Amino acid sequence: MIDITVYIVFHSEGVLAIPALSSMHRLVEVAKIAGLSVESKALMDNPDTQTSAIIEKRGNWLDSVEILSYGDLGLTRNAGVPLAKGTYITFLDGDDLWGSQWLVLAHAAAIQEPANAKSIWHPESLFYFYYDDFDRHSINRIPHSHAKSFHFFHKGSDTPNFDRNVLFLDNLWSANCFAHREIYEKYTYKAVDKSLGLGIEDWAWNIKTLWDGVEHKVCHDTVHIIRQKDTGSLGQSNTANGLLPHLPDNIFPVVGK
Amino acid sequence: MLMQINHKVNLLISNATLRYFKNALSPFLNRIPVLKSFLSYPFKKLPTKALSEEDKIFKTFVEKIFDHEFYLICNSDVKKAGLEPLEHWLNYGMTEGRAMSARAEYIHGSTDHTNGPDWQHFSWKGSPVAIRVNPLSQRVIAQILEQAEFDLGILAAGAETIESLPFYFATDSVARSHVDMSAIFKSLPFIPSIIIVTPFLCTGGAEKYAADLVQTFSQISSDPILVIVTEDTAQTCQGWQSLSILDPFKDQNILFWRDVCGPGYANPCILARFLHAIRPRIIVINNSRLGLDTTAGYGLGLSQYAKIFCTFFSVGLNGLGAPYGARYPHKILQYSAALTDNPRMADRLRDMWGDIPGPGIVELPAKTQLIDESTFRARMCFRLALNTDKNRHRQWLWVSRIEPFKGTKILSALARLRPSESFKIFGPLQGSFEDQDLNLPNILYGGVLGNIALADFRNHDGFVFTSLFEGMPNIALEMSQHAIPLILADVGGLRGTFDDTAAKFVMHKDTITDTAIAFSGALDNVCRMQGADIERMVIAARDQVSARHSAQAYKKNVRKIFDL
Repeated sequence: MIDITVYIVFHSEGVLAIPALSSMHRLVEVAKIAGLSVESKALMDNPDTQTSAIIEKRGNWLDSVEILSYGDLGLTRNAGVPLAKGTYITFLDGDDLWGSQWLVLAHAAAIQEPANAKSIWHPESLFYFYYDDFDRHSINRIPHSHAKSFHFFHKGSDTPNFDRNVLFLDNLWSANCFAHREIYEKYTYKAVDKSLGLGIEDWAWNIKTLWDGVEHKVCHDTVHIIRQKDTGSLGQSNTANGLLPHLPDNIFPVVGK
Repeated sequence: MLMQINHKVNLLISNATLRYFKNALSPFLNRIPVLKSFLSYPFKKLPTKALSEEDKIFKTFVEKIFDHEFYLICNSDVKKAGLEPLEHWLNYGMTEGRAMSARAEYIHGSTDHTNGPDWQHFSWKGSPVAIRVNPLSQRVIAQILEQAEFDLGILAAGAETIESLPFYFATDSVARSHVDMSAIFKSLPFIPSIIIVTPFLCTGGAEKYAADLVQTFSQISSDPILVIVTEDTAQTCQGWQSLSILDPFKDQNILFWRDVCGPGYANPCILARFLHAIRPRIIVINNSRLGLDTTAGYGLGLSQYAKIFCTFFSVGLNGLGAPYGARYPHKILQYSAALTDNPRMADRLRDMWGDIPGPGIVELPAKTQLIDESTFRARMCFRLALNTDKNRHRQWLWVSRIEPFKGTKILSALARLRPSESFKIFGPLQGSFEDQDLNLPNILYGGVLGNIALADFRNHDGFVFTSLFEGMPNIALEMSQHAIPLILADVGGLRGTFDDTAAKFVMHKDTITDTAIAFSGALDNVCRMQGADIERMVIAARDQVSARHSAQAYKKNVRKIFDL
């Protein structure tokens, strides 16, 4: 059995796929050096020509490349689950980068849990970077006052005083998580339905899993590096489309003091 | 004199501050001898108070995280004065809000919203201080720097500065979006099925419309109701309970959105997600800009669970005054019904936006409190008796907000045309009488009326309504209960309630003078009316209001429109 299946999901990342693929390669190599068996796969959902060409040229180290045509991030991830041989599965977005210890530390944390726990693991921090910060650059350790890059710290649902109601108002965890394959098999992502104004697959998935008793935990000393774009990010698109998360019919906030 | 000053300064000045003064003023010492004397005076050191145990704990903690270099780079005054950075921060910088380190943030004084596990709480000289340290580890920083091999954009802000960049915690919504997300649901006593979103709790037509709606909802349905007030805070509308038109709100749960959210309250995204979490079956957006923006942005998702209604009362005069009726209908009509109180607005909306697929445009005439028959008859009899004296001094009644859109210039011109008659005006004043040309000897201001239904207007010859545009003005409906002839500008939804047997309508003309002349003609007509004519007129007005605006008619309409 393979320890981890790592999926990277592409659609039209273009040149941004190059650093993402390199970062993933490093991630996988570090995990293999640590003794883990890792399956590296790409899911390409309606890829554009440039992205396809890049993966073809620089992705020959990948174990497989699946070409899909869902046009939906959640359905693409769902499609990857039965094809994975790993006990654990993690998904990566094709325009980000990841601290090289992510797989090693997430796997170590996951296998230390009791067999029936099966938490969903998130990196401890996200580093959001803006290319335009080159215009707000600092050459010493004091940031330019207008620099936009920042650090963001996840908190696990096991944190004292964690208020899960907040998850109705904001997504508390990023999409690139790590979990046992049974979690992905049990809780599939729901497709975005722009005609209903509902979607945001990872947010809805976080709500559904948490309310069903699956803990979301953070893995210390891990970081994902998220590219912030002035336009065209998924978050901006969700806002522009006025999307709200799919909510299961039986899940409501707890009200009152 | 100098000694006296020095004596006082002795009590106030610290050694560090004196050193700062000396450095800063040194270029001027030779030119201004008194300065030299002042600064060379042997000031006593401030007596150093012994630190309390709490202070010592705090200082020990700060010593570990305080960034001397950072502090001096950011505070050139401290550097120039040669002050010790940590001491300066503890004694001055902290209260002045100066950052102690790029890797730590603190709140001094009010430490509300610092209950999360990341905050450490201390006390310094009696004041609470909360400090939060960036938990970024060197192992994580190394991993970030390592990735620059693949994309140098990661270091765009500066390779040296990565660890000093701002940091946020996912669960700290106050820092991230200036909204206290945990407080929002805690403030709710129940999950409501009907939500009314309205901006203010004050006297106004829109507020009355919402209040009447809430009252009727509570009478015909057992669904729990929540009123969300989006602009007023509990403090800014203090005393709203004394406003009789808002009586129906008293028994309802009121959520002051600004109070529970905090400074980021105006973000439509947060209100949308809140409504989405609650999933009420009815949402009424009543003149709330935030509510309208929420519907425009997120109405599609919200309408999967809720029937949404947005009230629009008027499009204004060519959009003057930027009424919501002019700017929002096309943005919300795909997801929300446009709810209006008058047929003219309904027709206008249908003409402009009727082809937009969606819930459509619905009319719910306003509710008015009807007077009992005997009181009405008594008022009418008094008036008919008064009318027998044709030579009496004529006094006209004008009640509205005293502001230009209500036609105050027309009123002024009309008063000038009829100098021997007087005009008694009531209502809240916006601006000044001078600006609106109302400083005339025959215009008498009576203040703001507390309760129009109970007021005595029997000595007035007619009610004059000069407004430039309207939805359905409640005041005209209320006046119909006073058995008084109505002389009304032909605006808004008035024609939907009154016909020519019930009121003298006056069309607005191209100029104020021409409109005033038209009003004056209508007043002449009223003066010429015989008792029987007046009786027919006031009864017609009362009957027409009863047919369309009674509590029964209103309730029937609410049941039908909201499917209750």
